[in-house]
Amino acid sequence: MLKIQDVEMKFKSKTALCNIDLNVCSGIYGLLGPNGSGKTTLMRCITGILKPTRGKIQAPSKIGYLPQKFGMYPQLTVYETLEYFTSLKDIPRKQQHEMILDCLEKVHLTERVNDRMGTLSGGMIRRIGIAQALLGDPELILFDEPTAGLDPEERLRFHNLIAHIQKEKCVVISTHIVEDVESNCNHIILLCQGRIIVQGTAKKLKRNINGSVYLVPLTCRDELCEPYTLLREDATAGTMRILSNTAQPGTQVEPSVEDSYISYIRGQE
Amino acid sequence: MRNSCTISMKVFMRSKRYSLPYIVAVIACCAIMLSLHNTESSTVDFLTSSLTLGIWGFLYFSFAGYELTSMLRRVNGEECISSMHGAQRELIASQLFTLCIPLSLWSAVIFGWQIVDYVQRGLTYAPYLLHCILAVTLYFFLPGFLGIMLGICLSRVYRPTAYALIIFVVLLCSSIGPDLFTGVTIAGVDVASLFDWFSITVPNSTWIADTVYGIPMEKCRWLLVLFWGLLMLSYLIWKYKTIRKRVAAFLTCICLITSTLCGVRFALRDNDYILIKDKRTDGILTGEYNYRLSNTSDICEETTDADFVIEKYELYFSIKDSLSAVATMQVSPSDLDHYYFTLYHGYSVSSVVNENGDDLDFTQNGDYLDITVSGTTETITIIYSGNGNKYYANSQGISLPGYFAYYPIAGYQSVWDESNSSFSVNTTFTEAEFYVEVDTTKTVYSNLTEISRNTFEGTTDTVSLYAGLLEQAEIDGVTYIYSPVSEQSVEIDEEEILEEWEALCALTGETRTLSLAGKVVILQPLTIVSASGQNESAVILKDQILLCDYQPSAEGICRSYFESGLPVSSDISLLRQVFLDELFSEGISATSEKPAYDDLQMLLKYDSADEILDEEEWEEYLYESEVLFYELMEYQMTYLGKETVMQEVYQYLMDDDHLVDQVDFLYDLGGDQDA
Repeated sequence: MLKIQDVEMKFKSKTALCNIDLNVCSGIYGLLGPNGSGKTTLMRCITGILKPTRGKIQAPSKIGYLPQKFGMYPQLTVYETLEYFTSLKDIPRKQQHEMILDCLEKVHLTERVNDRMGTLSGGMIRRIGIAQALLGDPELILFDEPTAGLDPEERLRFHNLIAHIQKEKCVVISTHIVEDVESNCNHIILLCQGRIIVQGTAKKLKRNINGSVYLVPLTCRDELCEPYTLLREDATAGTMRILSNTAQPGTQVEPSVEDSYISYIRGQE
Repeated sequence: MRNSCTISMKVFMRSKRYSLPYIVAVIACCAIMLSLHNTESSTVDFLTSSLTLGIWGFLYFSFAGYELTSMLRRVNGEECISSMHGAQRELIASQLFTLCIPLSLWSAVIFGWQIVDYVQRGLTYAPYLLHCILAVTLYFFLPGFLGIMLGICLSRVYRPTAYALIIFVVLLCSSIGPDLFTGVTIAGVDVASLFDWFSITVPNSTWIADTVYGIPMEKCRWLLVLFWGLLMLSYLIWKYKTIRKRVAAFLTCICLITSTLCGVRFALRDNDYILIKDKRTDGILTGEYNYRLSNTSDICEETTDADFVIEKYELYFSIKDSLSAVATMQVSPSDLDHYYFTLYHGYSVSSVVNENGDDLDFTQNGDYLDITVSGTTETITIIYSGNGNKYYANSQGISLPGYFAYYPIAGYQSVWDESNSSFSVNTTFTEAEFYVEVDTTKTVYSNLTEISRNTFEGTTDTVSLYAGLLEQAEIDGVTYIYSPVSEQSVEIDEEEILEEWEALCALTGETRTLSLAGKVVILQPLTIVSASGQNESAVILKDQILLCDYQPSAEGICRSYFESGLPVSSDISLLRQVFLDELFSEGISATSEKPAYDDLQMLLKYDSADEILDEEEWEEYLYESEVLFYELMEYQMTYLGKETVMQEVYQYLMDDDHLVDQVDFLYDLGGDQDA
């Protein structure tokens, strides 16, 4: 569905993307990486906003895209905004109305259909952004930081929505929030400094560091053997999570995607 | 595209930021138009004043164009729209189109007011309405359109910078620049002419519309709009390219090349750009005066009659951006080795040939052309082209009076009258047969009989050609060529003229007759009127009367005709002037004191300023003496009667030889009254 071959993107002397090779089929893909790792640049390249300096991107013609920052004319109503997007996406007039209402229902904004965009909160505008991305039944949907600004309930709804559409579509979610990826995505692409450092299922990522994650009581800090990487310190529970290839005090635990993510990122640094 | 337009229109209408200023501006525009409608003297003046609002339209639409197109960026909607192929380009195009709707409405309001004015003044000259449509398009709609494009071009720029740039451009396009820098030259470049590059709107003080020429809308003015429009379009194509880079580059290049060509054509605008009443150094008002100041050798005060006559003229004029002519003249006698002509210096002769097509040697020096012939020649053909500055001829209008040497005149004729700082008016032309063809899109009017469209023939002394917002009408056997949109009174009362003339003849002993019968009366354009001296106010030729006056009157016509019969010579110039002034003044200022002869002697003593070192002192003496001379004339009229003095002086002026000096003549008139 989406084929990326040897893509490189340079902004003057800075390389934003380097040797990106990717094959994306149906399912939910999580594009994970720290700030400035090139996630948004890759998204923009896929949508055609940016033209890569080198390489090829084969993407379907029908793409739904929610950019990192989304907004529309505050003078327009929610319905008018979505109607405009349907016209831009060449959706037949007869289907427009039904499709708009359907998408609004998905993001739980049906009751705000006649409200002006200028009267909506930031989170609501974000949901309108999600709705417009879903319009026109796109084969490929790209969400750039989709849950930024959403309240926990809406985040959950978003996750449910994604879970609902995953079967027939290809969804790429770009984020630096590991939980978003862990709970939804069946394929994770880890991006750092413009390069894909690892990709695979959450299981695969975790498997790579299996047996290296320890839960150590804070009182045993002085007993730790070098080298090790501190993953997380929980003062309330009185424990800390560390990554180490050597035997450590405390108990060996099942690694999480976050552990894997930190492990790879630190490794790159 | 339709949906994009609907969305853009909704945004425009619902945003008070754009719609309120628009509504206020249109209402204010209507109020201004109403006030102008009540105050302006002619419909063309009303149109000109209305079009000065164009600069405000430009300002508003630059602002609206910027605000509407930059809004998407400000609300973070740009990235989402850009992700859809061609959507951003479509949106920009729709915003441009959307803003054209309020712009068209505003333009329609201005045009509507022209119709109201047209109807209320009772005009019935339909071509003027077309002229209005074109003028409103060029000076209101298109500047507004360029304003929108400017706003769109600046949409990626932050607001303070964009506003500053818009205001800067508006200042460049306004009349402030040309007003401030008129007459200022830097490194030989007239600074005011640089502002021509921004003259997309009607400047409000540097020109006044001409009722014949109308609002200047020469080709180059349209090209200037095209130049700026294409320049901005090329930027927009490149900036919002969604097509392949090579195609975008190709389209951008095409726009840039076309824009450059328009720019080059505008740079070479020459006569295809007439600023009516423009004050700059080469403008209609002072251009000729400045030329003569720096080319004093070209001034020839005395005429030299030719020792040959032109029996027949065949004149082919092609009037596009300038005048191109082929003038074939049948000369007699044919065996002279030197033929000399007068042709205005603005026309450059490219070749002279005889009837066999052989090139003849010629030299063109200022207004004079000398042709050397070896053997005999029946006809001489002169090919020339150029511009007449004040007496213009281009695709929009023609104003070529017969007394102006726009075609070769036999002999050396005075073209510039140094004493009056105006063009000389020659009325003594030898009759000849004329065949005149004018190649122009306009309908040409002439004193000759029209045999087919813009082709004339007949026997006369000289030919006048006019075109523009003109009409020809026959009233009481007299043919009038006049502008139907002018407030000048067209009809001239022949009886009043005859009465006036008879009174003048009785007072002076003049024997010539004056009649309008069979003559074509041409009311000259107001531009020519404003740039002309008294000598041009009424020029009476064999079959035409050229009136150059805001309100022609019987007295003015008679005075001009009378003046044209009086010889012009420096030794009688003062007496001539005083005589004419007293002749046409009401009553006599009775005076009993005769000025002292010694005081008047100053006029005799200082024949020229060369004899006195201090020029200011000379001017003062001259002025005082002239005042005394007027007093002397009034004294003589008091004692001898106006009729006697007028007749005596007229006879003296008409004499070929003036054995007695003008001061002595007037002083001794009627003997010594004191004695």
